[in-house]
Amino acid sequence: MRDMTPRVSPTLAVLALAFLLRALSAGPSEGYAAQTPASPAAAETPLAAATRFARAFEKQDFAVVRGLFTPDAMVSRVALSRAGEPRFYRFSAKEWLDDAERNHVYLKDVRLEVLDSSTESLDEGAVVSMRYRFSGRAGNRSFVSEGIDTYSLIRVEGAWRVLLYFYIERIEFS
Amino acid sequence: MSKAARSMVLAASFAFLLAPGLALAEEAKSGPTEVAHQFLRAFEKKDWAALRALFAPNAVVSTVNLAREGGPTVAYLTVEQWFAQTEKEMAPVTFTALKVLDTSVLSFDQGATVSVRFRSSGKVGEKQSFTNNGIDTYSMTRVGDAWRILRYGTFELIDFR
Repeated sequence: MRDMTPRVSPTLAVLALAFLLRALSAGPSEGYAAQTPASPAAAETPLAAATRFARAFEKQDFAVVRGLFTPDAMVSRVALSRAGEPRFYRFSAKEWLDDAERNHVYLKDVRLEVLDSSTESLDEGAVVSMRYRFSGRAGNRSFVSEGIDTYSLIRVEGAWRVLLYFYIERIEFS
Repeated sequence: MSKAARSMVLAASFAFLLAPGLALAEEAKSGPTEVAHQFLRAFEKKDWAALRALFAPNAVVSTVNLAREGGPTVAYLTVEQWFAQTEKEMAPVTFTALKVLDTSVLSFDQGATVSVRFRSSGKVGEKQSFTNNGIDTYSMTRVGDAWRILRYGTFELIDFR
């Protein structure tokens, strides 16, 4: 991945972009009442919980995102590219969120399209996937990220919580 | 149809399906959903060679074992670690049924994620029976002309009796 801004080191920029792209790219536009981690609707569906997670990331509201993860949650990612091999990443949710909070860069003119979603549910858990396209500018470069988020959720005290968050994506710059 | 005739038809069908040319043609047109279903059928048969062929290089596996009491058990494994564990654990298992209840797929030009909700049942050894309700998730990319699995995620609740 290429450096995006001349004033930011390549390593930091890569980390920051990776996290912030995800932070900003995942938020679907469907409306629902504002909720805090302490007040999830008892009737919230797995899709609504995943959507709330994504919306909170879009706003970089990390307190809400932390509240939606289970204590031992994990995050993993597969980064695709047109030319190279896929790259694999894995983090604890805490590591991932801590890095996202530390590595701030500001993206501009962002546009997110949530293109599709699917939900498969059991009594004890659910898997929600969302396909998205996200575009914008990072420094003087434009980017487009296409991917699919997958949330594995379980019930914790009656509320759906994210046990595993996985995404497969391809980011391209121009 | 007599039993002998049915056997002949079955044998001819299998021979036809195993013809190399046809197998390659089938593979070339398999989409992400077909690959996921091939995976489940191979798993049911404990056809480890067929399963290995469905993974992309360096693929990973995550497993979530839900529990009726207590928290879930989560593990991340390389494909080789998963095969080593699964081949051992599955040795005494005989499936009596594996039913796909629902399948959903999301895809873009280079990637796809397929989720399959299933119910399986069977025996472990001679005395113990089990039912397994779960959701398998396959995240894939194209390797050459074929879709191959980069990340396989299990999410299941197994009840023994």
